[in-house]
Amino acid sequence: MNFYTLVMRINLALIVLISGFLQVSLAGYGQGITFSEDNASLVRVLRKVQAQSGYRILYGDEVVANARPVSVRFRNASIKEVLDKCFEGQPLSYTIRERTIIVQPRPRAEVPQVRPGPPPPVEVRGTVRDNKGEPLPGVSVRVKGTNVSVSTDATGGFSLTAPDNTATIVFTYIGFVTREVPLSQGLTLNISLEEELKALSEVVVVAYGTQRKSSLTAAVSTVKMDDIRNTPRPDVLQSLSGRVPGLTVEETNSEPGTSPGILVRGVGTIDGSTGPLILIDGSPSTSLSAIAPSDIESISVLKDAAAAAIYGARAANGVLLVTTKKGGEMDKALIEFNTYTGMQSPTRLPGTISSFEYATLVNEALTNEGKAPVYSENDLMLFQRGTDPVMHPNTDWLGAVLQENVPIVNNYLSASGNSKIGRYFLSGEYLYQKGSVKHIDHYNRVNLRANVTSKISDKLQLQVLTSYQHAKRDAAGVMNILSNALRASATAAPRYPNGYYAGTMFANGNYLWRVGNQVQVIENYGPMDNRSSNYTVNGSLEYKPVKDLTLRLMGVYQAGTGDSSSYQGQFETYDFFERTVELGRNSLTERWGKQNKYDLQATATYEKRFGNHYLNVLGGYSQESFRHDRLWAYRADFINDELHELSAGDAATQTNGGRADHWAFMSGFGRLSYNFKERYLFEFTGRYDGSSRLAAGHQWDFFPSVSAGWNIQKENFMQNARWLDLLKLRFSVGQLGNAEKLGLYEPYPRLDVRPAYTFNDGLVVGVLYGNPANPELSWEVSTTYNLGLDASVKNGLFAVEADIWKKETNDILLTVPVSTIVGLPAPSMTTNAGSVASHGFDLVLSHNKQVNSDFRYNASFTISGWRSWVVDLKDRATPFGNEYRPGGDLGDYYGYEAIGIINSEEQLANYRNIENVVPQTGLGDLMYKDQNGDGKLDYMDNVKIGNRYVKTQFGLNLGFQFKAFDLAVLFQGAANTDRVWDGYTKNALMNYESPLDLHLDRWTPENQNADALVPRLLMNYAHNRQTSSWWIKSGEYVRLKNVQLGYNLPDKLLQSLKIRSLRAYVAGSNLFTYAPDYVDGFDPERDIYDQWYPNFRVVSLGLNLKF
Amino acid sequence: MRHINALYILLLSFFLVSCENFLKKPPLTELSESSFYKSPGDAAFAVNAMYDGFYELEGGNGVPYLDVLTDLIFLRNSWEIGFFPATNGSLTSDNWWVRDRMWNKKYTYIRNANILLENIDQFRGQIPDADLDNYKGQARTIRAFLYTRLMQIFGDAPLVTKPLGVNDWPGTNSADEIINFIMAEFDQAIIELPVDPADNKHGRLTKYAAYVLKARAAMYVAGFYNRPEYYQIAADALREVVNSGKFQLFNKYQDPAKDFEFLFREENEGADNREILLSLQFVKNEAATENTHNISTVFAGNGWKGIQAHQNYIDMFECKHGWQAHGISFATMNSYRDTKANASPLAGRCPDYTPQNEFANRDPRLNQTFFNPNIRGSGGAISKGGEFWPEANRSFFPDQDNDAYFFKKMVEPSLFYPLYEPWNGANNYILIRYADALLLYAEALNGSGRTAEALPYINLVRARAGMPAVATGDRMELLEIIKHERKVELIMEQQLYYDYKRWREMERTMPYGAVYYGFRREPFGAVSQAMETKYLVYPKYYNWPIPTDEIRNNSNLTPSPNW
Repeated sequence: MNFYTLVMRINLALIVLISGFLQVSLAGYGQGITFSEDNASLVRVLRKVQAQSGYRILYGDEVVANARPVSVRFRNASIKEVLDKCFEGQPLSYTIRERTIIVQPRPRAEVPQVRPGPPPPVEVRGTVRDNKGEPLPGVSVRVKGTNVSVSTDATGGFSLTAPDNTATIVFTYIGFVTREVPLSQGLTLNISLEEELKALSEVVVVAYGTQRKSSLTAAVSTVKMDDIRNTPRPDVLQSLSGRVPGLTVEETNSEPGTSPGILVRGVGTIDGSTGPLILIDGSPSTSLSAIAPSDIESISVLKDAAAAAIYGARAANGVLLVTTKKGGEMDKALIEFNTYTGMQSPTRLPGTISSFEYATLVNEALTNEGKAPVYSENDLMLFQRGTDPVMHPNTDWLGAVLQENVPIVNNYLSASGNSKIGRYFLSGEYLYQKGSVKHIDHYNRVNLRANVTSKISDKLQLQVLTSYQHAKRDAAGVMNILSNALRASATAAPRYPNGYYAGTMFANGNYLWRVGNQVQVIENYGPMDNRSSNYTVNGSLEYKPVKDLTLRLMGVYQAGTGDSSSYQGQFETYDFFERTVELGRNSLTERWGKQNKYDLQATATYEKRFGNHYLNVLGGYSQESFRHDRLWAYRADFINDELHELSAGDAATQTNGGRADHWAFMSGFGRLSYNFKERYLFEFTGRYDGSSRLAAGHQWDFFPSVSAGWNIQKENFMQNARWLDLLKLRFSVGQLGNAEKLGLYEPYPRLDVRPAYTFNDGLVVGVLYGNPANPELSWEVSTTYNLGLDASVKNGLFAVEADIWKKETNDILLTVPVSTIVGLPAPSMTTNAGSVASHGFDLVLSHNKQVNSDFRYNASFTISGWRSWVVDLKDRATPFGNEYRPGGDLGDYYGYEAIGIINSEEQLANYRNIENVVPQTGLGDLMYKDQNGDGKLDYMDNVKIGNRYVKTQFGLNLGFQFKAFDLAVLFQGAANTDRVWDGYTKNALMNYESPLDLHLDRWTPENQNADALVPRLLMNYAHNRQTSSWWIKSGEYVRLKNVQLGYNLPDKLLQSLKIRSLRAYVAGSNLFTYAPDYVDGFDPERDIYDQWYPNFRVVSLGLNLKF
Repeated sequence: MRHINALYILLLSFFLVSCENFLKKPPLTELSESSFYKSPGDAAFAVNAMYDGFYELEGGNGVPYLDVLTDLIFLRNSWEIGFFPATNGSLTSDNWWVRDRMWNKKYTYIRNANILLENIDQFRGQIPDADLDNYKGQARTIRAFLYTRLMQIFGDAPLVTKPLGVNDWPGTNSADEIINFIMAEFDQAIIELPVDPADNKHGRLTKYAAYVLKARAAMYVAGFYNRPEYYQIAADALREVVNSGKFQLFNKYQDPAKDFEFLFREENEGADNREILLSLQFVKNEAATENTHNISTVFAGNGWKGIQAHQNYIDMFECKHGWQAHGISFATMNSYRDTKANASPLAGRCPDYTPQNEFANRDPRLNQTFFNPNIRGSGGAISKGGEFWPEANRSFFPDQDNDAYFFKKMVEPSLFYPLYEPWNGANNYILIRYADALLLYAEALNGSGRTAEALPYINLVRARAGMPAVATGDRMELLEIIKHERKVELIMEQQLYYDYKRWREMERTMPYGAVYYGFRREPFGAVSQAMETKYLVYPKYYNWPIPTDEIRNNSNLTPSPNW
């Protein structure tokens, strides 16, 4: 399809849309009602009125049961005329509220209101059966609006006393539709309850609309938000772990304000972004992390091409559709107040070593290198004694900066309902979270939301969704503080006894080294303010010009600002021997950034059921543009540390800068769904996308998908299998694109322009050539196949959802090496080369059971697995590449295979025979395997030693409800994954960094333990630090991810407190972790790395109050 | 309805025209390549950026570390430099520093020079020919310098003289081809470059700087590849420098105890210092550029003090009357290595040598190159505290290693007082100076058999340092004298590593397993410490390997021999 035909199509869709809107204004609002009936039932007439007017008419069957038949004739009549006529002489009256007509018994003649005495209580009895006539024991029978309630006995029978004969009795039973029966029908109630096929009637949010789950042909998973809302984690993504098959949450640390990475069905491409596209209320959004979890109505995860292809070029990594709450049906507002307070602590804490141990290890490492030890015997003695706080202290640096238990508080208030302006949902959230670093590390977040849906007329609906988020953080880069503390030597004191900050390591009575004094850092931190605000307005108009056709126009504006102001006060440096203090420069850096994003969407949906055929056609157009502007300014030499405005600094020191980025996206899309008797389901979707990241001529592409489903239980031959709720087969195939991983300006060759050099002490601008552009770049395209099976028996007693999938990604936007001799600044280029294949499965097994009226439980087990491998790297194949090799898996680590620790002279002599074994190798060092046996150790001996991705993950979700108590438990785990051991935790002692207590398990000449955790310690020699299998650890774990125990206040109390419900609960996250093969002190969700910030274990207490 | 139709058409046309424009989002901040080389001034920008090519390549961090590859000085901390494994024999072909600095960056600047030389002639006629030639000469010299380095480090290497495309995979050229290319290029650049510097701080290349760069390359070829005819080429080039009358050894203070040290100070980096031919520019507080961390950092930085001298280097400085006066052979001293058992080779031979204060009565350059570590330690224990440095109002260095030899040469005292900002130096780093040219000239003449002609130039350098003249008619002896003189005069000036290679001196001075000791503690009743052990094997360590990354990707390339 060329560019102009596409434009034509887009414009056609637009014309259809616009013409629709124009008709609104022409045809107007008060079109009349035309029909005639003779001796028809009132119900029949009312249905006609409802159909023509669009008014909703509410009436009870029992109310209209004794209405008189009517004969009427209308032509272009107003609703009032029609109704007045119809209700003439009826024992009924009507009232119009909003767009709803409510039919009630006509009040008695206007007798003066005399308050009657209390009506006499009445005895009610009866039986409850299911729709097959079987008695239902344990059904809750309650008088509406009171706390009078009983349960049915084994024969389904019950009896209770109601306050009077106008009361309504409510029958509730899990798995059945709740039924309300007014006593006006009589005092003996023989009731049957309809089974609630909840899983089937469930409505799922899909792209540009909703769909019944039973008619889905695509792989879509939904998140049960009820399970998540009370989880004491600030970021909703943190709560998704283990709950959705095929969704991996990578929470490598719990620093406040950071968001975990998420992957949908693993990684299907090489390099670049692998996160899913996230849409909030239909508009692409950059992040979910700041949204209040309680505002979320639902999250749908679109996993296969059938579900995601309508998002085309950005959907290759899956799509997350997040819908916020829109308000209720009730006139009376529902006020919800949720609050929790939690205590956060590290899941695992690395152990540090004492100063004596440190000095011993330093001496040992130097001796291992044939050098003289730096610590004397006297030093070691003093470290051991601990009597000298100046030169021989024993500092717990980590303890000095890390607060082990830190609070989190969340308060949330919302109001929702249906009022004159329409449906509304208003909410506010305040979150406070303390991070692990003492003194600083606070995070505050405010969320405000106002969602209003208003019917302007029968045919026109307006929706305005606005939200505002503000987050404030008083720190940045706090991970460095903990990391530096982790590797600071215990031999340095934070302060000298005279009060000056220290941080100096002494050996033999002299300076040895200086650690970054993190106590000084946190005590002199800032002031620092990191603020970010996001304001979103999402306005849409929905117009139904004729029945079955819906036109929708949506405009979204997102404005974000991010600014930080960081002041660095004068940093004192005290010279211990000279007794002098030097003050560093103070400085202030201000950074301001603003982001603006516009999103315009127009869709037209035509939905029609004729006979056994159902048809749904959607067409749409969207465009997005984004711009990010940044500005920064710096001054130093402030007159004192009290003034923190730029102007107070020395103007001679000022520097500033600014940058800006932008991109745009434009698309046309469509979907056609068809089913026959809900038995055979078909769907076709397609999207035509254009991106500014690609050069003209390559920037448009089309992404189609087709899918089909077969609801087997709807077949005639299955009619006898009544126990079968659902048996459905799904199949889909489709294409998705990816160009998001490209830089914003790939089509434009760039130059490196900067102040390059000084001549005559003045800066001159220099220009160097950047990497050339590749105007030929195009999307990478992945083709996904999905085969799914959904089954459920006995009303959800057991259910299964299984998917297997396969994905081929071609024309991968690959960074391929360019000869370094060409001389590009980065010896690589991006090109469409290579292909990757993936496959995997998602499986959910669930079980629900109501044991008796007091106790029910549910369990669901979720497991998913995947693997991606390189099929072809075209001519860029590098059989010994360090990252990707043809046939290798994505995420593979390559390195030497460590055979073990050299533990005998004979081993050493043999090993030394291999060429390239470094001459410093000695006893206690690692031995690497000469894989190809060529007697030489080089890159050709690098083999696969592990894989970084979590390729199998599982979750077990258990829910119990006993009387007023509820308990939810989530176990979550990962397998088939490796973590790497790196940084200073591997290069212990380099730069005099401190080892951890795990390094005590090492090879030493005295303890020649070939099974030690680490080889002999060295300071300068790097041969043990080579990337090798020794430094790879299995990242398998199982953890008690979440547990929540709640108690609901009984109805009796609620009644007296005049509240709808009150629940108190205690919740916990990451309470327990089992990771047998991992290294102590490090959370298995992160690498063993000195860039460290804890993952949190949280215990919280909370309340959910509704009134 | 007519209005509505008009509205449709309006909307339609709006979307038709805007579609392509809507998706056109060129960079907002960066300059696009297509807009470059549109005016002659662009060439100036391109040339400006190339001067980094002299600088960031050798050490990283603005520090010239290469001399730690000799037996004279050592680096205490492995993490300061990427090529540390090359100092002890554990270098591998995937060393990141060799790949990044010695290989990739070289070719990056070569590419930029190639592009400039390809594009610049279109401006002929638009600017004065002299300016145009000057741009070309600078680019050409820098490119030839970069190829000199490639030849010195790798031997055979690809020779690229035109901008290449991303799909090119060049093969190896022989060192001979590179040598022929650079010699011709230097000759061309010498024609193009101006005689007098265009700036006051010796920042820009001149004809004479190009002569010296050419001579250095020629001397390397003569020695390393045993091509004596190149001595003549070097001598011819250097003769132009020496006879130009534009340069003279710095002796502003007429004080041998001061001139050598102050030659490198910021206050003397201007045009009136006629010893400098070219220097790398540093400016204080210039955070925008990479060249802020100047050389002072590494010598006296915040706790680094990584570079120190071996004892045998200290022993190599003559007694104040010179070795010839005491009958000590330069040849012996050039390959002398301190061992634990040794007393100083000067003990008992130089009458005024004192073991407890080795800095007394020595070549004045010793006191100007290193801080005296033990001024208070005149008998018995080594005392704490270091030498007082009046200019900086600080004492150096109260450290556990106070009995160690720390550099004073090139360190700028103003960085240490009142604010301790050794990283924020403004003193330029001299890339080419006249003393080097003189010594090279002497060596070239001697190499061409003109020993008698050579002698005066060495004595010029010695005289400035306050050392007595040497005398010899023996070509080999003079060569040893020159070697010694270069070691003493040029430490940390990025010359000695290449000198060792061209002298084929490495087996002699750094045999496999050789242990080197730091400060000699025996006179103080303590035991000297081994500072490093070199496990270098030859001829392997005469070249470094072409990086694995390139070999792995590029089958046209021949891996370096011995690696």
